[in-house]
Amino acid sequence: MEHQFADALKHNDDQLVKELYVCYREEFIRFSKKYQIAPQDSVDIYQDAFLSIRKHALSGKLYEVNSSFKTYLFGIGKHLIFNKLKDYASKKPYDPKLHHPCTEYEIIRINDTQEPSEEQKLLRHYFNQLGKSCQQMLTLSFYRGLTNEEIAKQYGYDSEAVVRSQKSRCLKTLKNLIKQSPR
Amino acid sequence: MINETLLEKFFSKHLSEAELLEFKKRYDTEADFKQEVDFLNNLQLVSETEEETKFKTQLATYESELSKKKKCAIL
Repeated sequence: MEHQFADALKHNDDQLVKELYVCYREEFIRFSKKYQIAPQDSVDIYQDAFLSIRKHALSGKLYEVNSSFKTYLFGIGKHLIFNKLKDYASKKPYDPKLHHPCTEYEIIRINDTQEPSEEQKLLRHYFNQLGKSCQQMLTLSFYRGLTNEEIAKQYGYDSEAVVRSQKSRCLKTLKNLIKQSPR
Repeated sequence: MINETLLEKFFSKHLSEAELLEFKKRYDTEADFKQEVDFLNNLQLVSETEEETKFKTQLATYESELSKKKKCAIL
């Protein structure tokens, strides 16, 4: 895998991410046409494939991949195309031949998104009420998995202790909001 | 008392083998610790969803820019 592309997704380099998005878009839509995917669905699938590949960049998994960025992206896309075909099959007669028109890209299986629990919905509601800096701090710590020291260095905080104390304040505020919620 | 360093190391995937054992033991035996970890795991999912929503908006912007370009070409 081209590390510069994984880095672009990880650090949200808007310009390079946009170039990658535009670069493979038309070819992906032609690719999904072989499976008789409707054009608007193709665009949605392409975007979902981008979301997944970004998730793999953030988790570090993308750096261990041996194939090229394009092969991996299309492999995820193929998995999503097959999911869409299953969806189509529930609405009209299914043509099993559609599962085999192209062996060019190996399927990359991804975890399908699960519906959030009531607890997660409530948490999301109050998370959105936090200030932007708290949202960023908690995202960096718990989703991106950065240590306090890494956050301090990369985001210009005075010290690890400042990050620790702000994070603790943000968590306290979030917990209080939930505690006071009229459930 | 919740061990914040242990939690930080867990979420940044920096736990050593010994710390991982301690983490698992605490999770299984200390109600407060389990509650905190479950809360933070949910927070992880929530912040992931929020990040994805932002990224989806970014991708939608690329799409709208592409369709504008197509329209310009026709005119």
